[in-house]
Amino acid sequence: MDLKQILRSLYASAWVGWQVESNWTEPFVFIGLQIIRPLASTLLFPLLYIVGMNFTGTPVDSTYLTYVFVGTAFLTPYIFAAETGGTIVSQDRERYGVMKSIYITTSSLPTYFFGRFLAIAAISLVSTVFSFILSYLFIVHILGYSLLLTPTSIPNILAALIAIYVGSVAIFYLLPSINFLTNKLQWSLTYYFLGLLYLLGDILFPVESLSPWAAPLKYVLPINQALNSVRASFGLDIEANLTYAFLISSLWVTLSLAVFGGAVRRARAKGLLDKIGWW
Amino acid sequence: MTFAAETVNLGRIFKNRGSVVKALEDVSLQIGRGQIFGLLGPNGAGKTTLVKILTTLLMPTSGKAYVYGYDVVNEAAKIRPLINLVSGADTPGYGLITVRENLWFYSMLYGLDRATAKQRIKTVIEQVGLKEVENELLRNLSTGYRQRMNLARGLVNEPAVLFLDEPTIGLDAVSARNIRRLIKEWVKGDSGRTVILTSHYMAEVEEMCAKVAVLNKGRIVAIGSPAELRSLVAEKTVAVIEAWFPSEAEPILDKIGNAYRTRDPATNVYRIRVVVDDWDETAEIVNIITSRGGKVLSLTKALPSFEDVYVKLVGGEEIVTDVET
Amino acid sequence: MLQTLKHNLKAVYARTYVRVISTFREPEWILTESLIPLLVVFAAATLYRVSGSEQLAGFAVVGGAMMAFWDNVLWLMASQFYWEKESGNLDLYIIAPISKMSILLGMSVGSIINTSVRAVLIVLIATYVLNIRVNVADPLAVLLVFVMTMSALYGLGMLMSSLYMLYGRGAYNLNDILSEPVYLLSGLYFPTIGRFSPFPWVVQFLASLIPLTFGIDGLRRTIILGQTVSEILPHIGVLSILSLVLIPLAWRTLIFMENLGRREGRLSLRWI
Repeated sequence: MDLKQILRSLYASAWVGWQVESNWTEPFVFIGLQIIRPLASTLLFPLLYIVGMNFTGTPVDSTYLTYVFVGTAFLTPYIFAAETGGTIVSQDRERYGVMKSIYITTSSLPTYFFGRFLAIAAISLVSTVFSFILSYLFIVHILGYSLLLTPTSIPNILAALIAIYVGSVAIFYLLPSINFLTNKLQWSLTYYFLGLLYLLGDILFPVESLSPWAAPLKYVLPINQALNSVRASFGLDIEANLTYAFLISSLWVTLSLAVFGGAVRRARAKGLLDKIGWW
Repeated sequence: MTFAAETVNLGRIFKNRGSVVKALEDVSLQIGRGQIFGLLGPNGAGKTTLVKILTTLLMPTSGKAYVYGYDVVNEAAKIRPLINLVSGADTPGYGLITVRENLWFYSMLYGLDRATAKQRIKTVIEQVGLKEVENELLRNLSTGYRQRMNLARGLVNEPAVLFLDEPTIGLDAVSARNIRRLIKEWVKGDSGRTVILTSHYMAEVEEMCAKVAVLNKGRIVAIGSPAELRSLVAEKTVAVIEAWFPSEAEPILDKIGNAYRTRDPATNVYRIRVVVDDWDETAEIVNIITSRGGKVLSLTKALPSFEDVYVKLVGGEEIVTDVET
Repeated sequence: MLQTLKHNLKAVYARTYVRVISTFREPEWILTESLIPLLVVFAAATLYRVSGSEQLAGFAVVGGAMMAFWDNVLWLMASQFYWEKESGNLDLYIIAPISKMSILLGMSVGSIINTSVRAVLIVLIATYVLNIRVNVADPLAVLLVFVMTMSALYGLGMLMSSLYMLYGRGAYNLNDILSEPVYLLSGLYFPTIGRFSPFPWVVQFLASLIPLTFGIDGLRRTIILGQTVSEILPHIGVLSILSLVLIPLAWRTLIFMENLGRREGRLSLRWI
């Protein structure tokens, strides 16, 4: 397959992805709803922190509030990737029954999945930006708390955001890899993954707060360094390494592609590529 | 005596984004009790729409429909204890409970008391041949068994009228034959029971039904016993033509009226059955085929079959593949 | 009349049985499904601890348990008729000589039983791991709030189920979108009504229309803060009003949607 054919296949997959995600309602309703949901998840934990402080009568620490706020706001690309990545196999294999027909084309499943990822990435980018701005306005102008966001370098922020997206590609291949081999987790896998991320991903607190033993995870998971790079680029005094963020995210993508290929091969061997119903 | 089902100038239209589809138009039918009544027609003829109206799932947009004399619009609650529906395209039930438990569940929806439910479930399990899997989880059952379980569910309330919507669709020949046998036995056992069966398998309808209504494009185009319908073509002759076409010439086939055709995709050879009034008409058909580079491989005379009745009434618009018997 | 009631009660019992027995046929589901709320509870509790307000970790535990109920309402109540439609069961419910409300009621009772097992598991594990101090001064108050919360919450579930009956993919997506805003507004992890709420009163009012909001607040007060019946009377009042409104509304909506579906021919349409 030459590059032109791959690009055509990628474009078609992204287009289908966009249609599957959006064509169940009017475009404006769709966009509105795609902002409300991440807005809620962005606000949830910063508000929890504020309420906790108010309840105990302790002043709100703006630095920590900003830490939590940036963590939850920039988790949005991962949430979108995990939600679609965690259900795409069951949808395509069982609901629409298209997995087998895509598999036997001259394109490839990794290309198709990447196309679907691009559609999700585009939607999540809009959601991330709008929920970030709206949450900021709510916390600062309605609740009256300060968020210490002083962007030191816009290119760095963008680069860190790209690193987050690179990391989320890995998730988009890893979760389907599991679902190819079992359909028992199709409803819960996304949430297990996100639950773990909240605990270990430097989203709400540095992972070492759980236990000093957990500290190395900062350099193992794809999200920690990328998120901390966003925080650093917004002026927070935090240790972060953007180059490492790219490196570890790319490693995860490579690993995830290998796992994905293995899972597809195994699914084919076990006759699971087109298996529907209860099993 | 009231009819098992009756429709008077029944119509149903569907509107969707400005377009209007007439699914049923001016359908008047009287279906007596104690028989298997067939609704035959191609896809989109309106068979399932008619069944949905009679089973209270859908309201008509014009005309009237009655089951056991009760109006389907205003007296749906009186109809429901008398009927049941088995749709071959569906596999209802819950995967994590057993066949027996599923049947018990549905018997409760019909308010059967414990003893009656137990007895009824035992009977239908035996009737339908589910004994060996009665304690299996539904999710572990093969398609054939699931269809049987679906039929057993349809019998569990001993309906006065059982609606069967394409009950053998997707089944292998042996399973389909078993289902047909079961249905015939069920009706024979009690003369009051009525089955209203939809199908596009002509052989199935001919084998099972005492009376058949043929629907096409939402209208009834003929009604009668299979023998009566067959008499529509008794005086006719059937030509069976095997012909090969270059693919660009295939549209020419539409010029051949009253034809029922199947195609072997591997060789692009068509087998065309044509009902003709006079054998001389076949020369015209051969001309049509050869005019665009087609080749006639064979031409034989055949006795009219029920299939040809269907072709004559429906116009051979749909290519129907061979029927399992 | 009595015969009809008896008949419908049989349907309620049968639908409850199916839901409960299906879950217990694969008991590992209960355990694995309990893990998800637990992970988020641990994250919220750690945030409380890191920020120096660990005494509120109990709030997150109660929220985590109730999250199981909300997820259940969304995915196994609201969208249940959609699943039933996919398998062909909905047609059979419609043509069965019963009130469709019996099916919803059976689903609700079954769901409450199943999810209560999960909720208890979540509370026990989280309380143990996080070393939460439980302070129940009045068990009757806990029971009362719980029962009223379930009645109002599953009333909402029945209403949503009726509303979603005719919709396929739209309902599924709407569910997906609704889940997190409700996590936020109903106060799963922190109080969203009353003195410590971060929200303006208009938002608090809207949040209190979600049965979960007063339910969680009432449970926190009775389980963590040791309040008694007399202190949570407003909660019981609000939850009673919500139940009295939502359940009859669900009933009316169900009849309306069933008739609408029969008129428009949308009862049997799949995944649109």
